[in-house]
Amino acid sequence: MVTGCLSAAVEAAAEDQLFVEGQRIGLELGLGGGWAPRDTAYTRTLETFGFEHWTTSQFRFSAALETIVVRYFSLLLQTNRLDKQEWNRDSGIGDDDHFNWNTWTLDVHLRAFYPVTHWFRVYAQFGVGPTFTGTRLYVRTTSSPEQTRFREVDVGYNIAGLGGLELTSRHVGFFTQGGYFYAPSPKNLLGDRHQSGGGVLLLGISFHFGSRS
Amino acid sequence: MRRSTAFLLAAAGFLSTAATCETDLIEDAGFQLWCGDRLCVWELEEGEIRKVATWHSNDYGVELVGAPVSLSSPAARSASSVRIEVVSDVERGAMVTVEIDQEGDGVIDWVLPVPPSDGFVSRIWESQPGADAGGVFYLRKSGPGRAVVARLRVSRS
Repeated sequence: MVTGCLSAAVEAAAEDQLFVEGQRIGLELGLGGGWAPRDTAYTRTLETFGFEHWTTSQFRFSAALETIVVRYFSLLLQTNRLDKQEWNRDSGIGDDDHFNWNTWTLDVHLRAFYPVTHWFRVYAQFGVGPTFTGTRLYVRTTSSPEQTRFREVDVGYNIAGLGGLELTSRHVGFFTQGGYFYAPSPKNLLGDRHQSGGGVLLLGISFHFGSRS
Repeated sequence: MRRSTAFLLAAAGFLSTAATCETDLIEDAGFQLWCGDRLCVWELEEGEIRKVATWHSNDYGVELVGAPVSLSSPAARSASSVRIEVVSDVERGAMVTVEIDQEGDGVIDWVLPVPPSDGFVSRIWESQPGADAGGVFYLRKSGPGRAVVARLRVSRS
């Protein structure tokens, strides 16, 4: 009996593989936590040059635009906030030197999903794209007592594998998503890289629209 | 409330800064302050130096070009027990040394050889020179290899 009901639901959902009521476009916003590796060649070099770790933000944010392309598959344009760290160094000449970075991704993901029912689907996705790491170094470089801020952007790449569950109604849904990012950025002049990715776990809200009438 | 909090934070910042400054015997330990193509604090006694980027394009080190090269910096204060931190990339044969003239009388009282390395490494020595370490600090290179020093920090231990 239960198997029969489930089969019917799957068949109904599989008829067009769209969101509820034939909608094809989804928007997802997620918040959660992440765990980038602490000890990398990049951080060891910072320590060699006298910096000490101050803070790491484990906050993660994700935004994605999804469009269903073929049965069971969708494409997403997705951005994720990854690692953010701050480091300080005793300069001996006034204010501490300060260095921080903040890494974002902008990826294209291919998602394979399975609509268990009209209101519940599971999915797995794989994504690649560029990684942008903004770095800021505050340091004195002249006899002037003021520190100068030096901003740079390191462009790298990332690879992501994620899986998730989504409960959805007509226009609004909720999802949980977890996975792993490999994002070897930033990079220093000595060739050392940090892994700004690592594991992520997000909870979020999704919106669906764009139905064919 | 806000004014008192701001005052306390300012006082804490001042005390923190003052405490930090009082432990350092060399003013520009990071070779970071450049006045054109010369160091603002360190004096070039002999030879040639060059400003070079290290791990970051704006975190500098000093390259000791050729040989001999000698840089000096007067001690900002003295201490009987010091912690010496050297961050350097020194080729074998470059023969880099840190030297202390404790009295400032031109006589070198203490010599610390900086070992060669493959890439930048940080080394720390704790030392009690006998008399107070003060006077003048020298960074010298007497061999032909490449040598970049990114940090020479001497502080009270």
